[in-house]
Amino acid sequence: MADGKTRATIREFLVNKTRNDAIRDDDDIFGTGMVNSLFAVEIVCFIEETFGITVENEDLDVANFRSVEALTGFVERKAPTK
Amino acid sequence: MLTRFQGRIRHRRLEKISPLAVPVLLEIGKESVMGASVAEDLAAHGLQAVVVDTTQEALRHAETNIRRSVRAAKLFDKSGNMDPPDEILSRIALSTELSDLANAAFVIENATEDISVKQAIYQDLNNVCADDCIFVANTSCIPIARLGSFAQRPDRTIGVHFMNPVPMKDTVEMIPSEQTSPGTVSAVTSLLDRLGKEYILVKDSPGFVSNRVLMVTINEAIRLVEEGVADADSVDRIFQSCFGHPMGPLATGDLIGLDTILLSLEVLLDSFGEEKYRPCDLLREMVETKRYGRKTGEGFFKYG
Repeated sequence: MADGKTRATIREFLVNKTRNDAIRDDDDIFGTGMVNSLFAVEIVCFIEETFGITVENEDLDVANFRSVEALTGFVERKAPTK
Repeated sequence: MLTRFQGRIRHRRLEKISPLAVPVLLEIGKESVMGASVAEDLAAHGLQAVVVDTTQEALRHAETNIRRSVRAAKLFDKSGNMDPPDEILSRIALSTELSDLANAAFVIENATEDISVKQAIYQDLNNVCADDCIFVANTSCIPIARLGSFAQRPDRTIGVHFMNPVPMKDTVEMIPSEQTSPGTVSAVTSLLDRLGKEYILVKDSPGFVSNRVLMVTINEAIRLVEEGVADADSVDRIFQSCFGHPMGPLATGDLIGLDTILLSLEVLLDSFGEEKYRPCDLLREMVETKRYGRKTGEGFFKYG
């Protein structure tokens, strides 16, 4: 999946979940309180199921999941565009 | 595709568990989430736990929930002190046999909020468990004295109302009945200390403090949606944006489970006989159509 599509898919998911369409790519969704810790379960499942990648134990760092930018980068690293 | 950890939660391999340090879980129904959440918290604090349910399907559901939640918890482990997820999962055993609780030091009961179901469970537990085993009722509304009477060990029965998700909530409501012994309170306090939880002590009464207030609030919030006064999103945003609550009453209902909300209101209505506890029609309709909230993927909001 190209970067633009990955980013759009992640953004759409976060906009729906946060009910905030003004979310910026670098907004820290955990730090700004837009989502609570329960959301972490959903976002890990979303990334695995949507992009067909496996989130390993060593990937379980909030830095990989905290924003549209971070998530896009993480997905691209785990599943590079062919 | 879901990640499967290499470490597997054990099914009925209880021989390695110290009989003196076995907090045990009991959970009934595949939609239940609390037992799994308590088990995860016990295991995350180095304790062995056994989750007992009626079917393998329910246990698989619990296993999935625990695995997902442990991974999510790892995201927020800033200290780096959290044990590896596989190690945490290896401390949890799953079983469909009540007899696997024979050596338990504690049973933390998380069965559905139905008095007849709990009555049968406590009677069976009394037959299976050691005499000094303490029964901890993680009940929403049913008085602890009643459960202690079903168990025929009122002195060793106590209420501890864990909040969901258990690993992320540091405070519980503790409810000894008038018959609960000081020794039981002391033992359970030690267990809570081990889990890093503080407790707020309240007297035994239907719904205790938390749910006597919360259930009425959620029911009334649902009634507002039913009457068309506001949609679900607007109701919750008023609590979040105006009052600064981290979560609105309808999202809270979805988190607890609307099936549990309905059962809890029925217990309160039966106990107090006051109309304010009568479940509204929309709540009944949502439960009838299995829109329980997070655990079924849809309630007032959608999940997953």
